[in-house]
Amino acid sequence: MEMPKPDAVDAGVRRLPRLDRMHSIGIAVLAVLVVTSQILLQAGLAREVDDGPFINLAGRQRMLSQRIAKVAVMSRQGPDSFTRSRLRGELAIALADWTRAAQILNESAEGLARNTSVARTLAADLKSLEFAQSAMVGGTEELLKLLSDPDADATVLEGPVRQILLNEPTFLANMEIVVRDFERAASEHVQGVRTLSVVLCIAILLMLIYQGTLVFRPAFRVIRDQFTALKSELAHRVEMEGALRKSEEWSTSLIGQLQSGIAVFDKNGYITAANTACERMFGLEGGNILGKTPADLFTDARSMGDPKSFKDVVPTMLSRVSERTGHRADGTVFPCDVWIYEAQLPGGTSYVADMRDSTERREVERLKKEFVSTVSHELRTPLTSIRGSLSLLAAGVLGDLPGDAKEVVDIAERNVVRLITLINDILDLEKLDSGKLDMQFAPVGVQALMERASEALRGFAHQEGLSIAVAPTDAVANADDDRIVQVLVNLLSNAIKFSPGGSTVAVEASIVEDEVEIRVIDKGRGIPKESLELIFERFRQVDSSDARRKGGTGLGLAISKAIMTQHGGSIRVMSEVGLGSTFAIRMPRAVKPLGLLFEGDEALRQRFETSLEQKGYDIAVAANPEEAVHHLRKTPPDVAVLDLAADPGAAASLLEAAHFVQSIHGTPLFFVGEHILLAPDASSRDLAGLISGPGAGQRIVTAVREHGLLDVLLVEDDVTFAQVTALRLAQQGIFTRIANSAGVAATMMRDRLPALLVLDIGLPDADGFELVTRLRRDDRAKRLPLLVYSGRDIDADERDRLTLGPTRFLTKSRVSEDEFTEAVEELLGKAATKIPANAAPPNMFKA
Amino acid sequence: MRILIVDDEPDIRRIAGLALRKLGGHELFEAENGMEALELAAKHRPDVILLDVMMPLMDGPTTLAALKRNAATSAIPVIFLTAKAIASEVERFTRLGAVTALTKPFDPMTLDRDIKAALARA
Repeated sequence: MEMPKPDAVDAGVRRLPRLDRMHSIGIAVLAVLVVTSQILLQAGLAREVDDGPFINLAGRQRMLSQRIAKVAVMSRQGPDSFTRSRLRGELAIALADWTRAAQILNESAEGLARNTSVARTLAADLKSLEFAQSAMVGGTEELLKLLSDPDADATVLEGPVRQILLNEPTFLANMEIVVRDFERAASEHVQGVRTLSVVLCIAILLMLIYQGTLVFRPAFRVIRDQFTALKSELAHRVEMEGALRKSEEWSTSLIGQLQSGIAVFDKNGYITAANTACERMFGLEGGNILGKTPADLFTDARSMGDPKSFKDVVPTMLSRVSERTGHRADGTVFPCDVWIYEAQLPGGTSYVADMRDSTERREVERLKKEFVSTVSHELRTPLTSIRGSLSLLAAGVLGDLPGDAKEVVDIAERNVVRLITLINDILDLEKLDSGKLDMQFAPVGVQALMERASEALRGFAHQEGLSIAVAPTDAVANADDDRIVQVLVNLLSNAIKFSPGGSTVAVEASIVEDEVEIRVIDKGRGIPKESLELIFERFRQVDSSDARRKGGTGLGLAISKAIMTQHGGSIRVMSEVGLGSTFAIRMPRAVKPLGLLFEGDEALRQRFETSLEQKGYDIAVAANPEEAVHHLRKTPPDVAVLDLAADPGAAASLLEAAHFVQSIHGTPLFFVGEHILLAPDASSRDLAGLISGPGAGQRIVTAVREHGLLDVLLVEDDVTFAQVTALRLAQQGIFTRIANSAGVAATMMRDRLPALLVLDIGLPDADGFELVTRLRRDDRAKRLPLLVYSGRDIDADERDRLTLGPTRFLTKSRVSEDEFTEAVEELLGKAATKIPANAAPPNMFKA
Repeated sequence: MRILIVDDEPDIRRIAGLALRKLGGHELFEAENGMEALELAAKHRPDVILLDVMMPLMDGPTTLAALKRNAATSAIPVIFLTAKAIASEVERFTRLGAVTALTKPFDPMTLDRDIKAALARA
């Protein structure tokens, strides 16, 4: 059965009201027609019935006129008195009848339709008739009068008699005409009624046809289509329901059999559904898991126990694996990988947790790590001795060797170096494969990467009689610089190996949409088409003798490919045999980070500039504090160095602007003597290292060199107070970082824990209690020395809640500056063993 | 220079010693573990200490911390010799106070040069 298209069905449905209207009009017209025809027919028939009396009257009139004529003839013969009276009586009766009949006749004729030609003819006929009639009536009346006069003789009577007899034939003839015309009129009337009825019948028939073809048929069609559509829809539904049920059964059994625990949390954090694996995982079989919260399942999700905090925390956990500690009903714990994603389920927004007991995975990981570490240590230690011995022998350090022996030692040395490279490559690849190779992605100048790689190989190139040409570029990539250099060194050394002497290997870069592409181009022997795909696989070399002749492990390109993949980039090769090869690597492009400098000391400014340039920063130099403030507020930089001493009057406004940037971007704020550094932690340390002018800055640098980085993290929302405190600590050679909110503090501590935390209680986003509670959950942070430095007194109960490692409580208004500084120094002393002043300078500030 | 090399492998001590003595003309002291190293460092005050990471009795990082604690030895630059050539490890060592870390297997021919370069950078 063909199913009507849904839109056709809709169109049909839309037609129904119009059809309904047409139907109503049809019915109304039909009703009017039927009623009209009935009325008209009844009226016509009624008139036809009236014809009878008229014809009778006409006949009787004729008869009466003949009788009058007979009486008139008899009157001629001189009747006796008796006869005269008889005649007179007869004549009187006839005249009376006649006059009455004539009147009725006239009325009847007038009743016929007045405007028809027949009616007009009839009226003329009647006029003629009336003329003859009145003559006859006049004669008759005269005769009647004379007959009652006994003196009147036949001669007298002859006058009226003649009048009667003369007019009688005219009257009869006229009557004949009247009757004929009347009958014609009547028959015409009947004909009219008949025609009308035929017309009405045809009209009714037409209306019925109209109803049938224009209303009932389309309506029927629409109804039929709808019905068909409904029927097929129903069939479709039944089929769908079947499929749905099957799929539901399938997914239920699938989810039920999954080894992963699956739990569905509603938006308030209560479990509404869970599979068997999940119940088993937490020892909550038999539906006991329903209604539980993350706080019941994980020891480290206590904060997700109530709906409000669940709603706050869950968005931060979406779509990434978090490692949690699962908590079984029997009290035992297990490591658990949790993946949470949002799902729109019938009950509204829900969160689905996919959980896996990771005990085994972690054990495997640990064993693997141990294995790799063992292999690397156990193999490298003997190799160190072998390689060392051979190198010393081969170099003749231990005396010259006889010719053959020298040759053999050279072979051994070459091969041990190959073996070492191979082990390094295998370990690299293993780490890359398992994603264990931590990459530090940061914006890096591509030019510097290319220079570093070519520098590393310049000696080798020279030895082979080649040169390396690096084209200038200002592209900046988001990459791990060491790894990209590793890839480039690998590509360059391949290019050098396979290029003819005297040629040049070119390195160039360009920006392709969102990526930076670096190309290494050689004019070597090229790679055959069939090998192009294979060269990125492990232990694949175009010519198997290459490994022997050219060295190399056959892993270089596989490692390069893995490195580029981890960068979210790619590696590819274009080559033509005999003409050379081009290897192109692509990695995400980085927008150059922005550095802002306001520095009164010219030499110092140049040092900052060089340092930031090397790190790939775009630098803006402010000529005066106003410019610096304007810059900070308008285009907040990623790094800023602000000299407070250059214009002491403007220090407050600079500080305020820096504070603004910290509030907006959470960039850590540092005080180093007279400088504010606004920078990610790592850069800040480097920048702080550059400050070696006189005053507090110098003391801090010296102190850091002596003690390591013993820094204080000051969590304080009053930035002026923070600055004063930081400057005071700077005088003591203590390095201070400032966070103006609990959020910024938490971020800064995630990067690196300070040696001491100085904490104000009232903070804009969360209070000190909350921050301490959060820190207590962290194994490292919970032992952190803490100085609570608040505006109000802290009672005993509050003290319990505010304690981390060694903790002291000072009230701002109650202690002197010196007491505060002493407390800081005392707590710092507890934080780490003091190292005497003449200790060697650690290379903390290595650029 | 007077160099103290600390490694539990006598072969490695011997090789490094040979190279440094023959190629750099340095004076060498050898220690088998951390304890011995502390003793020799305090006694001879060498100009630089080459320190293995994994050793019995007292490992490299512990030895370094002990050297830094002792006023007599805290100023002596320390260079780690490590078989684990991972960038993050090197960073960890420098944070502990070492000048740098050289990876094993090292090239004896360039060892002298590498040590001098590291000290110059520091």
